[in-house]
Amino acid sequence: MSFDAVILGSGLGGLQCAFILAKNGMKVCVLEKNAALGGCLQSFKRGTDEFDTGFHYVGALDKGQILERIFRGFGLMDLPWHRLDADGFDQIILGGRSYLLKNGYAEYADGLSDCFPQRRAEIHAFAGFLKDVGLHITEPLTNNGGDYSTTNPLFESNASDFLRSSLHNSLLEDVVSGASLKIELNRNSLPLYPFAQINSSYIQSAWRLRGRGSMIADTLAEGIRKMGGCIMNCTEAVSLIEKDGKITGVEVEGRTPALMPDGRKEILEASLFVSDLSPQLTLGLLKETSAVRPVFRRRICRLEQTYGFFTVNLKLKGGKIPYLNRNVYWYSPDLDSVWDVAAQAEKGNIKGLLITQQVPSDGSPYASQMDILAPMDFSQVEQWQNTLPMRRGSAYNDFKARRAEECIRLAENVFPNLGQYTEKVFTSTPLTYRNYTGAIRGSAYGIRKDCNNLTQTLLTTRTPLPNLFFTGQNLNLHGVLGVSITSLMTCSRILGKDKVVSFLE
Amino acid sequence: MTKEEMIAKAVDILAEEFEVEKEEITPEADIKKTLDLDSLSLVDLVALIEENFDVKIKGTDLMQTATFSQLYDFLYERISAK
Repeated sequence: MSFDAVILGSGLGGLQCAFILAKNGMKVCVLEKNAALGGCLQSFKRGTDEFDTGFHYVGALDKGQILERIFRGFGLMDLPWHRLDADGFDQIILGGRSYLLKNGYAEYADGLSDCFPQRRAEIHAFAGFLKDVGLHITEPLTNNGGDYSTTNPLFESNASDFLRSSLHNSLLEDVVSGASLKIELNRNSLPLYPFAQINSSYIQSAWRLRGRGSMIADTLAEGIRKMGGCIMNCTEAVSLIEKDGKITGVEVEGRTPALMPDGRKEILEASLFVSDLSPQLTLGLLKETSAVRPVFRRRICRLEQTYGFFTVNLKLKGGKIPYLNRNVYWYSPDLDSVWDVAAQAEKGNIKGLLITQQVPSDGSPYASQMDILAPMDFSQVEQWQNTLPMRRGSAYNDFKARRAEECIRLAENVFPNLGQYTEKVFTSTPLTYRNYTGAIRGSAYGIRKDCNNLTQTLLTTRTPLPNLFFTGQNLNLHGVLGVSITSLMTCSRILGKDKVVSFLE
Repeated sequence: MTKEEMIAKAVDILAEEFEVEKEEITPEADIKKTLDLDSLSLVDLVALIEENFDVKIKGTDLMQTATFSQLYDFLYERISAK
C-alpha cells in the first residue's frame, strides 16, 4: 500500500497533522497500535462507566481565542464544550486557605490582589506579562520557520526565579503556581515560557467537555476519513525503512489476528512520515543507519521525562456530591511549597492533588464521577514494569488500593465523606499510562524541558532524515493547546507557513 | 589537560562522529562546512562537546565560533574555568 504521508500514532498531534495534510490534498494513513484512537485523549470503559485518560480541561476556547481558532479549523467547536465558572475556574487550597483563579487578566489580578493587597502592583504586572505572552503564541509559526527558537529568552529563563523576582512573596508565588500540576513544577529546570503560556491560556477561559475527551479524537478521525484518509488501528509500526538517507516505508504488524493474520507484516510506502510517538520510540524503529548520527540517538535517548500520575477514577453514589464547575488543586498543609510536589512524589509522598469532575450529562446538580490525580514518579511502579496489564500481581494491586485510599482520604479535605459516597473505584498508574499511550516511563507531559540546557531538551519538529518529522507533546509545549500549536509547526515545516497560517483564519 | 591534548581529543571525536578525515579538521577550516552542520546537527556538536569535555554550552555560545581554532579557544577557556 502506498500513501503520500504516513502518520505514526493517533494522539492529538498525529490526528491533527493527518487532518491538515489531508486537507491539503495528501493521501494520508494514520497508524495506531491500540484499538482506541486518541493517545492521551482516549477514554476507557469499566462496566457501563466511561472515564478519561489524560483529558480534563482546556483553556482559550472562547470566540477568537487561540484554541478556538485552531479547533474551529478542525471542526471541533461543534462538540459540547462547557465553560467553567469565570469567577473561579480553578480553586487552589493551600495551607488550609482557598484561593480562586478568575477568567480575564484584570479579573485574575483583582481577585488575587484582594488576597494579597500589598502586592497589587506586582500581581497586575504579572497578569500583564501573562497576557503579553499569550498574545504572541503564534509567533513561532509566522516568524521562525515553524519552530521555537532555543534563544527565546522566555525559554531560557527559569520560571521559579522569575516568580521570585517579580512577586516578592512566597505564598503568592505558590498561589499563581497552584494550578500547575498540569505542568511539572521543577524549580531547577522549568522554563518560564511553558509556565506562562499554559497559565495564560486558562486565564482567558477554561472549559470541560460534556462527555468524553475521546470525542475530540473521534471527530478528527471522522474528518480525516471524510477527506479520503485511512486510519488503521490495531496496527503497530515495527520498523522504519531507510534508503539513501530517506524513509521509504514503514513495516507494520497487525495486533488483532482478525485484521491481519498473526505475525503477518506489511510495508506501507510513503514519501512523507510524521511521528507522534515519542522521539525515543521513533528512533527505536530505525535500524542503525549512517543517516542518523550516534550522537543524535544518544542525546535523544538520555533526555529525562516529566512525572506521571496516579489517577483515581470514582463512580459516585447519586445525589450526594454537588457538581463543582471548577477544578480543585489541593496541597498538603505540611508542604513547604507547591514547587516541592514533584520532589515529594519521587520519595513516594502524595502532597498535591488535582480533583476534577465530569459535567453531569443530565444537567443534574450532582456529580456522578470524579477524578483524583496525584503526581507519581515511575520509580514507584518500576518493580512491576515487566509484568503484563491485569496480571501484575497482588503486590501491585495492594499498592494501588493503598494509594487510592490515601488519595480519597486526602480529597475528603475538600469533599467530606467522599469515601462513603463512592460506589466504585478504578485506578491507573504511570505503568497503565505507558501501556496505553506509549509514553516513556508513563510520563504525563513527555520530555522535561530544561531552561539550563535548552539546546538539547527543546527538540524541533525536524529529524536528521529530511522526510521524517516529529510532532506531539515531547516538543515545545505540552497539553491540548501546546500539542495543537506543535501540529501547526510540524505542518508548517512540511507545507510552508502560508498553508498553516491560513488554517488559523 | 593541555590545550594540545584537548585539541587532539576533539579532532579524534569529531572525525569519528561526523565521519570526516582528521586531516580536514584544520584550525582555520570552517566548522559548519567541514562537518556539514545544519541547525539540527549543530546541536549534535554541542551534545558531543558536553558529553566528552564535561562542560555546559548554550545555543548562543557557538554563534561566534566559525573555525575550529575559535572552537578550541572557546572550549579551552571553559575547561580552564572549571
